[in-house]
Amino acid sequence: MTKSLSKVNAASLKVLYTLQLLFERDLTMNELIKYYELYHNEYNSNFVMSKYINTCRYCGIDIKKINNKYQIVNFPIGIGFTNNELSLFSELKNCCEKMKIQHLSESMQELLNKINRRAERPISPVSTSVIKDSNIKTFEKACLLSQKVKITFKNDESIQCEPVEVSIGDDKIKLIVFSGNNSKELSPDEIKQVRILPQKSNNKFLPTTVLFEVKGKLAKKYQLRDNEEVMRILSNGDLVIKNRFEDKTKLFHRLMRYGDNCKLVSPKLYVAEMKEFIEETLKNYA
Amino acid sequence: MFKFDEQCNPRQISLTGVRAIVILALLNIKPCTFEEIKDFLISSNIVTREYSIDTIRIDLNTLKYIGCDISKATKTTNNMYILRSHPFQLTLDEEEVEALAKIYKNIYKNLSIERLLEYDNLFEKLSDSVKDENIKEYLRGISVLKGLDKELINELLRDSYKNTRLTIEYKPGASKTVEYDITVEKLGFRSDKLYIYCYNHTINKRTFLNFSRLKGILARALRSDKVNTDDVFVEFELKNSQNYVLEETEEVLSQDGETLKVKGAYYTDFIALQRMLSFGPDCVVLSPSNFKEKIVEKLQSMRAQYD
Repeated sequence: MTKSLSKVNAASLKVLYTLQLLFERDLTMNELIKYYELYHNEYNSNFVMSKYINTCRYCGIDIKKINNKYQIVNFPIGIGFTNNELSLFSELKNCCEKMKIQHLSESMQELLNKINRRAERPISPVSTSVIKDSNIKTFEKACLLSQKVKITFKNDESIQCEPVEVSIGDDKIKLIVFSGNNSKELSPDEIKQVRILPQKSNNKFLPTTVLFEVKGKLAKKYQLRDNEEVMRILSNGDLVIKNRFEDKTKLFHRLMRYGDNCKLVSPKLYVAEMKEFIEETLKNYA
Repeated sequence: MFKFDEQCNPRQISLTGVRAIVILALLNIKPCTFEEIKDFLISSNIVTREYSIDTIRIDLNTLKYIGCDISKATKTTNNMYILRSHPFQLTLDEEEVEALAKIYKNIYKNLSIERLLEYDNLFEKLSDSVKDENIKEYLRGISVLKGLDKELINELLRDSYKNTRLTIEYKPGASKTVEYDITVEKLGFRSDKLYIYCYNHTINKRTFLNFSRLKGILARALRSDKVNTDDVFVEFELKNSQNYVLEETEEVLSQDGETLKVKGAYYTDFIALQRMLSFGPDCVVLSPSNFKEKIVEKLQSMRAQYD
């Protein structure tokens, strides 16, 4: 606001102020009058405010009164979206519904509200009815509160563990926890109940560090994961990779994929288990 | 270009307010000269011919007052007013962009390269329209195609539709560069990297090449080149199948409890081998026998590492 008020058009300014207020949030007439007075130190009557709203409407800005609140339904100034672009947002929305993660759905809905203002055909809201898995909700809450949880499985076994996050992969939700010294991925389908315990999560948790070698061609094109770093580069170009936080079973299956271009180095227990894992696979062909 | 709501009662609107919004909308579409703005306002019955340069300055000042960044109309701007930013721009916060990124990351593997290019354009467009520099950067970083040459991707896609034979320059390792004659069959992602799935005429077999190692297309054959290549078919038994997600090219032949008999089609032997090994003890290859032998050899070599 660098210009002095004497060089501006007062009536235009009032219309633009009104538009700005409605652009920020949906407001009832009384709220609009109140906010206007609060921010711009001027009282306007219902009639005057209606005139400003009508001015915006005349310019093609679709302002509707929904549940007694004035709401900008369509704002044609600025970025617009083609039907194809809207189909991308729809695709993301559908995927979001499948993921059933509450905070993600809420953020996606906020985003869609903004996109819909600039769309000729609005995208339907994210269906919140799909977020019905109370175990996932409880787990998410425990993550936010940093409190331990007791997870009871459908076979009535249970574990006490530290919740890390709700993760999504291959269209499946997984609950990531620290239990013992390992990071584990649990499937919500196997869980009967998640209960938040009064104990705080232990921030000093030390996950198992796994070292493995990648060799030959694989070493040249190996792409490090977020949870990995190169520990050493050997003289022949092979790499020693340090991995933490990865679910053991998942890691074993991944390393198997690399065949003899990969060798687990430590910890000893994992090396022994990997050897057994390979031997068991070989037994299938005995 | 601009739709007025004629149903609004003209006595219940502020014409000067309309003028400000219309100028904002016009400049948002493209930079305009004073004459262009005046002509549009006159044709829309918003102002008369007396509308002067002094009046537009007041209108522009009003817009600037609420936070619009509008350049002066000078020789350097071709006498055009340019709207650089305004307070009604799309604003996205970090949580919203994070949600977008997480959801996209979850579906990108199932999308075609053509669709991924559309997403790439969408994120670029969103990035261009927001003001916050951090959000701009975040949006630019979402696409799995970030940093890749989109024009080259589009060219290769066109080549794959037409089966065009190409001579390419490729850098398989750190030092040398090689020339390959290839026919592109498709583009796709493996381990978060973009690969060119092609028939390599130089080595007479199907292969997949890392797109980021492609240095350029040296030549294109004028005629299309139909190559007859087959997938590698493998039949296998999969135990504890509830722990795995089958790929699109894997078909269940029969089921006994949690054990499935599956027939998979794979682009190369190597891909099939990696897939079978990844199942660990849960997988038994049934046929073909030569592939079964390869698996056993590989497993023996893997075991030998731990002796």
